[in-house]
Amino acid sequence: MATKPSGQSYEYVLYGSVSPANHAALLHRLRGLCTGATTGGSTFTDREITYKIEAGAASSKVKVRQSLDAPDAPWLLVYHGQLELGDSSRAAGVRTVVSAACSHTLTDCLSYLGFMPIGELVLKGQVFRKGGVKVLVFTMYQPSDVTDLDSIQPFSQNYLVELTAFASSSQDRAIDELRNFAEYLKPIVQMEKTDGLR
Amino acid sequence: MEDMKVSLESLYTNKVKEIDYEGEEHYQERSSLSQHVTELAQRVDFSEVTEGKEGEPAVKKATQKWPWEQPHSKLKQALTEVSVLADMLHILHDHRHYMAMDTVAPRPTPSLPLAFQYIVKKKALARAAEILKRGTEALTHSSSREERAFHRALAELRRRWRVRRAPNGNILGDLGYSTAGSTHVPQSRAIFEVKKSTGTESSQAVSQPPAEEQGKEKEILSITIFRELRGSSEVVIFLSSSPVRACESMSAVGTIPRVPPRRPLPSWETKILAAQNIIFNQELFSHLTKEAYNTKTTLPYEVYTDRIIAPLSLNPPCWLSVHHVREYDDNKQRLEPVVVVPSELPPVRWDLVVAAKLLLRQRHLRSVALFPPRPTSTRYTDNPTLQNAGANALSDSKIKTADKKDNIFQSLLKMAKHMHNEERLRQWLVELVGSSRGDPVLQLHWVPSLSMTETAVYLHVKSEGGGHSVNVQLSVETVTVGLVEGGTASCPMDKDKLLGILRHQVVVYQMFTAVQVAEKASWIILQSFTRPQLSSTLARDSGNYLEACNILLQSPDAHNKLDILLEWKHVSVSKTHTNASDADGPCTATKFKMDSKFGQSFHQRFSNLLGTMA
Repeated sequence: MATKPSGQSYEYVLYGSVSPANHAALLHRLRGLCTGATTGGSTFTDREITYKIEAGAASSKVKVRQSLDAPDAPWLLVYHGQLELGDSSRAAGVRTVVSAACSHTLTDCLSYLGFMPIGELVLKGQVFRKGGVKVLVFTMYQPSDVTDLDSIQPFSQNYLVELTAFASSSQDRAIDELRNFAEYLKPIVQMEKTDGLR
Repeated sequence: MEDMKVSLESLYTNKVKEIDYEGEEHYQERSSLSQHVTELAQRVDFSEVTEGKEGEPAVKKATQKWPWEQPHSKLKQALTEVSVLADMLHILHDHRHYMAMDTVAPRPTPSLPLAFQYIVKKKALARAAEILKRGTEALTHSSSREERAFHRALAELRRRWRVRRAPNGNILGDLGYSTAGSTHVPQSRAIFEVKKSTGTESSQAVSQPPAEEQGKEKEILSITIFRELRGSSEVVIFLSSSPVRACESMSAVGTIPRVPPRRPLPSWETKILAAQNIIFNQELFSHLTKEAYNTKTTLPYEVYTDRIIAPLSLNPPCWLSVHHVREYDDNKQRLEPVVVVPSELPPVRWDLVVAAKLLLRQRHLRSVALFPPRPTSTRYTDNPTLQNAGANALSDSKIKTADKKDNIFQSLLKMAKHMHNEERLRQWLVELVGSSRGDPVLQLHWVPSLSMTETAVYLHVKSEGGGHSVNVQLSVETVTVGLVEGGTASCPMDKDKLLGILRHQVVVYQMFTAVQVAEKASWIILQSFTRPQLSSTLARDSGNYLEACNILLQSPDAHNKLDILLEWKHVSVSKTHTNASDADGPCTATKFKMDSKFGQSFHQRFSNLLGTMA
């Protein structure tokens, strides 16, 4: 059913990492667990630029996500709130997410508003889905020239695994689904509630 | 060895006393001789001095050690060990002088007589043969003909069905549609168990009559399913002028007409397919009842656990009746066409049944084939338009409209209404064509289409010298007519209104024909109206001027004017002299029929008319 996904929502997140030696085993397990992944999952190449604006003593960050393998797709402007990790009763970190699909002139607009780019990443990997849980297995690259994807160098040989589930409120059953799915991935990858992209 | 000098002084090492903050090390200074002697004296235990006679000096005990006792003993020990090592190396190097190396004498083996040796070997071989024989028996058993056939049948089953081995060793298969995208929870567990059949079991499991089994291969697999999934089930839909409130028997309705499979299905597959059909029909009917119950309408819907009665329209009456027919008879679990007993029920609309089932499968596939999010921070969606446009591109109302398209019951209602209206349209058009005789000739051409909510018909108007096609499109409850003069006209399913439009289109075509004839005969076209003006007396006198057309002509010699009113099967002509005043009124007014029932076409008759009126 098509629903409007923009606007504020909550996102449950779990991060983990896996070495190249176990990467094939992880993909094999995800193909067995996930929906519609019999062909091997869907590969993606995304570019993420982090912008920052300072208003006096306070500063705020937003991220711009562009799909390099689907040029017609709209760019996504995302604001992530603080990732709450302290609640021991909760199995995953939760943060508010405000997102909006924008046109391809988004970067110019942000620069005009006073946002400064502070970092850029290229993410390459595969995306899977199991019910409401989205699984990303990817590596991060430091691009020197975004137009030449062959020249980018990875930060590390390891793969980052990100499990996310959207929820309409901070108390949702999506976290149970996320936790159960994380159990399926043991012992190949140990998912933890940390901020993996820091 | 003689030249080697060994120092007996302790090796002085630089001890670090302190390290500054700058990193500079301060070493402990080397003690002078007097300091060294003082340290040594402090080690002497004067309390052990024995008390002797007075005046006699104290005699030290023999146990008082001299300071070099320890290094002396260590060195002596080291010398001993080194000497031993040196001697050993010497012996090993030159062992001929000190050792005599000889081979180990072989242990004498007891020798048995040859006969006993043969017996021992024979027993050992017999034991080995017994082990091998046991192994081959097991292998022979597993590769027996029955086992091979069972595994072959199991492989065949596994090619088309999801089968797994349970922890207790049973082989279980999946009957549900959950892996195909369904979120429905069946009333009973959607599994079946597979076993190797024995002779007695196969005769109970197979539903075919024994006579058919003769000459066939004995059934290898025995399929067991839950009692709730045995029997047969079907969702049947009736479209009739009165509601169908009872339909309890499969024999009264039959099953969906199917194309027979290329090869005859094994009985176990027939059984499984019937059970899966039951689960699918349960899910379909549950969706239909839920959506029918939630439909907001002023019409009186009746929703029960086994039937839905919904009126499409009350005038004329048309009812949609959806029944979930279920039979629990084990002997009748089959998918072959059921022998239908003639009953009072109207014929089942299998096209609507198939459409409903396809819509449900479409919903399943939509939940499975979601478009991957691009970029990956977005969510999964089943709408590619939403994916590419972005969430903010579509308004809430447009998204809600997209959601409504997923309602199976609403789609079914639309299709049923369209089928009902299509039948009515067919009757009206046939009536229209039948009522027109002579020229122009009316023909109908139905455009074949796979759509269940759109129908297109062409009404061909043919006359001497040409013709025209009027396009009529029916979309559920609205009819759109393509006009001869250009543009379209829409109207609801109203017989008088629709036929009035179509009759008017025929008249418009006749008007264009008349204009061509007049131009050919050098008459001057003063005015032509597809809708007659009320200023015309003929229009005022006509009873149905809305379906008429009006032409004003002037004779070639400019003496006469003709006011022609074209109607369905009638032409009224009023002739006026050009010089006559309004007070005089028209000189001649003629009204006559233009249907050429007796041979002449409209073209010919209008030409004759102009000839007489000139």
